Amino acid sequence: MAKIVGVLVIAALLVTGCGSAQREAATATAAEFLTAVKDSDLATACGLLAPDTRESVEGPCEGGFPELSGGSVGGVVVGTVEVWGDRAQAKSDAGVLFLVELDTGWRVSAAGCEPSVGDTYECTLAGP
Amino acid sequence: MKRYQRFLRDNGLSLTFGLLFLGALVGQALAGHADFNNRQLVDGGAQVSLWQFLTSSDFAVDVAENWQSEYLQFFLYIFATVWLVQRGSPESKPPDKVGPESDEDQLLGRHTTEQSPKWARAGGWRTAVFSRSLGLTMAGIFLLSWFAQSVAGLAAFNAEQLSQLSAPVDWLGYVTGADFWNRTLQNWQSEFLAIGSMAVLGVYLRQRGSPESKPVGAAHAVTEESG
Repeated sequence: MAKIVGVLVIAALLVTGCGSAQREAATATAAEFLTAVKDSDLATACGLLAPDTRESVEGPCEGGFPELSGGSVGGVVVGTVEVWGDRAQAKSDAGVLFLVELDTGWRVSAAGCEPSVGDTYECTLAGP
Repeated sequence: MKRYQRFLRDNGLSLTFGLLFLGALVGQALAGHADFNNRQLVDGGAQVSLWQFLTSSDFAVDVAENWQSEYLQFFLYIFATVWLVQRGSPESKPPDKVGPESDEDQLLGRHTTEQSPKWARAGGWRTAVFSRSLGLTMAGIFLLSWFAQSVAGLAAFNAEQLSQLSAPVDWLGYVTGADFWNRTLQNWQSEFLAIGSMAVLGVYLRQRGSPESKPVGAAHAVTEESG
């Protein structure tokens, strides 16, 4: 019986993605993105966007577009980043960021998000 | 008959169902993996390998939610049939035997034999525990797998929430929420229906040769334990 309990607890821990390595990586990407936007380093900021999010905005990303210009979604990470599976949420002083873990690493899928109806968010910059 | 042939014959039921279980679990892994990757495409997530899927909370919750309901079904069935009867059903005791029954019926106390299990002969707390060991084990596995469902379900639900730009929840919020209870109750309803069906259909229908059925020629009103 003790063995079964042990296996189930370990399995539970494994699948909840308690990896702090994941949290560190997601936090690093979020921080890098926020700093890049604040410093108007659009090349870096665009490189950190998820492909779907990049494609959903009009015009070439590096050329600047309203959502990224003006640094309105830039700033610093505030508090702990929450990681669940291949998704993460980071809070910043410029709204909430949503991240996704792709083959190329963590990327920003939505930025400048504020709580909206129910438990959903309304985002300045978001994918489709 | 050779030894291995006798082994196969004596353990055919458990071996067959063990193989069926493994086959279905492998099938579930493959279909679940394909389904998960389809959803990842839609949600803008990365494709995962089969191994990554097998160690994911999505696979774990899908396994755990089904296990917990099966063990709940067995626990309730084993325990309820001590006290509740269905006249005429092969799944039930005769109505005059309701309750834990006498020591004589249960081969306990003065009535143990040399072949009785050690803890049946031991008396005291050992016999008390052994007398309830089947129900307790089923209940224990049910509770553990239900807990596993809640933990894995929380992780899978929160990943889905984040992919939809919605707020994640904590464990308490999850186990009092719709996703957890929708998964739990849709499993429970089918388990309870299965027991109810077996109890009732067995009164009126037969399967020749099956211990789950009354003898074909047995009357509907007679509560027999097996055919």
